[in-house]
Amino acid sequence: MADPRLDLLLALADDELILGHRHSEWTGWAPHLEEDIAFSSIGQDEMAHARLLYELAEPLAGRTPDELALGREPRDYRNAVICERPNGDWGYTIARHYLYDTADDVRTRVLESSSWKDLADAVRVIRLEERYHLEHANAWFRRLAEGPVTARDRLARGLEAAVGEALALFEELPSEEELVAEGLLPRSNEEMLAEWLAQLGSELEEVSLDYVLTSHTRVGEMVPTSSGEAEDVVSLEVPGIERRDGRWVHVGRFAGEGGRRGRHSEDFQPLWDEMTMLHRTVPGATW
Amino acid sequence: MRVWEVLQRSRTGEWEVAGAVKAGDLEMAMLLARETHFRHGEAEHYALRAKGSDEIHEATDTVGIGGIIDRSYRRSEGYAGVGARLKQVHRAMAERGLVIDRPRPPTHRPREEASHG
Amino acid sequence: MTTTTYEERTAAFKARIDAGEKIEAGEWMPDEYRQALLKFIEMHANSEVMGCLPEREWIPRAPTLKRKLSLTAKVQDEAGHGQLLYRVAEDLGKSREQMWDDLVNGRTKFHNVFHYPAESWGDVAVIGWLIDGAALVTQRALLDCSYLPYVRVMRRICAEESVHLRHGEELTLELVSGTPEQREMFQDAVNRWWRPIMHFFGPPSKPDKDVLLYWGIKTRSNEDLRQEFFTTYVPKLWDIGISVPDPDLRYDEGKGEWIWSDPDWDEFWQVVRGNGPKTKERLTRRKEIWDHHAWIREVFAGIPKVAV
Repeated sequence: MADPRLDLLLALADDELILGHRHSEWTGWAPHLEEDIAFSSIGQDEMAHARLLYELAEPLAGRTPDELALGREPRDYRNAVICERPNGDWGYTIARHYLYDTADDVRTRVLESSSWKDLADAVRVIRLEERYHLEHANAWFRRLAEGPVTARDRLARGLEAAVGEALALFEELPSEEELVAEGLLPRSNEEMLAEWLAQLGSELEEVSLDYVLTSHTRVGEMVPTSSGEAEDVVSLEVPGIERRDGRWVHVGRFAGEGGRRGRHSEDFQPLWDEMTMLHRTVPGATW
Repeated sequence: MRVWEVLQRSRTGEWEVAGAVKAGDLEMAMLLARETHFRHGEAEHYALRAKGSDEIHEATDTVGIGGIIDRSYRRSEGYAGVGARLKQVHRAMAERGLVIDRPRPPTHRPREEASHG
Repeated sequence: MTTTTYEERTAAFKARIDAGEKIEAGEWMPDEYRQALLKFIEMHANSEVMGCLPEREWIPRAPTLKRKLSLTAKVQDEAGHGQLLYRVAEDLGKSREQMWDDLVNGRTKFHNVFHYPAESWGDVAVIGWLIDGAALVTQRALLDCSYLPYVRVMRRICAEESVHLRHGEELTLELVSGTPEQREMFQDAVNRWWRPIMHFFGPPSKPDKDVLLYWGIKTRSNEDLRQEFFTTYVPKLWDIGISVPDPDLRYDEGKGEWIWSDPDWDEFWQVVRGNGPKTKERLTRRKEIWDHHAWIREVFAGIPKVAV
């Protein structure tokens, strides 16, 4: 990976591909019919954005978008771990959707000023479509946070499970120093994280859910059962989040760190096996 | 939960019913109507009306409705040339002696071509 | 006081149907018409949402980005068709919540073809081309249905299905002109799906005993539609070197019709009554999701916001 732009492109594109892949797992199964349709569009948007970014990566990597999306080894995918986690129930899904899309809003706003014009142009177009994702995420966030008892609880548990790993969306990239120095990445990940976390903290305080920033559950598959219980709830302290001088800040390491360097959770291999199987097992085929 | 009629402008400019969505409130209904009824670019201006009410609520933000980047996979133009491809594959199969040559109706004009607009 | 008022109204209604008139939403209709129509549309809606499930298994496994996107969009459209159809059915007098509850608890039916697994990418091509093709044959016929709200939805469905059909045809052509393994994948899928497709059109019915034909809800017989399917798709399959696993299938030029083997209708009845290979698994999962997410229906139920 000689070109530092690939470190940036693949992180963005892989986030969108893997999350889009997870979102599309709800297609056909979502708990409300209109929402099945709306959320499917969001999943398709993410995968289409990934494709656009892989097209930018193609000349740098010497591989086509399909080869990049479906033809790499697991250790070569640069998505943040939060994107590969299973959907769990709708509470986790909405929590992750809200965390991801608010974070993505911060980084894409910054990338609109990238010194690399092609990327800035692509991001500008992507942002026009991402507006809808943010509206959708915020609409659900508010309704669950201010809604019936069970709904609020479901959102809270989803946030507890997701927020620790969401921070690693801003884990430092390989080549970050060079990317920032050349203005390809106009602001560092640490700066963007500071902005996002402060904003997130105050939004959570507004709905009295800031306590999710000081506790979180171990993320395993939250399998919906008819009793509604999530399995494997273990309390751990959240690495990296503290409240200092009235603001929420990131300190130290990340939960689920390593994604940007190709180190993934136990959930990535099964996802990768399924996603790449057909592409890999009939070599030389066009589909 | 309410039923919200989804309205789009007719050719003569009036609001006509395109369908309906079920949602808990107007804002959520607006978001859902956008993707349930307009994701194929059917219209850019739409409105909602709670079933049984007269009040029309126009959608104000329709940026990106139907998609901005390549959505050809959702539209028939993304599959332009399929008919020609079928003929090409037929010819290739004929050359390989794989065509199953049995009696068939005199004309079997593929009907689905008639409905493409 | 006589009992002829309802009968008179019903006779007048039937006369309108026979004259080719269409019925709008909100008009008076005989109970038999309403019930037959509701049941028919409910089953159609059920079939669209259950129809999502065989193909959606291949979204995570699609072999290219374009196919991943188009398969997602196709399944999304099917959910959309379900949404449109449930709305029409609701206006006839049954809530969507009740229809969904009946579906997931196995009390109502959906088309036979959606009780089967999609085993390979060959199945995805067959579903996209031949099953959607079969559905489009029946759906085009429904454009002449006597009930206008249903007709309006059918127009949109037919337009979207036409795009699906091209997707299915493209998938098919790639497989058939691809590696030997891919060709075999497609032929194998055709071999497995042929009988369910024959079943899909329903048993040859007696037109004079068909309630749906009586009321103009359907306007063409099962056999007529099956014949149209043969005419449209069998020559195309033969042209690309794909055989049909019915040894008796042939076109009789003298009679001007296709002759085919009567399939085992017991399998058909078993399947639509809920004993298909995947029926229980799919309905169980739908029910789990429905029951688990009752809290979402609460969110939409208009409970006042809490102070935060």
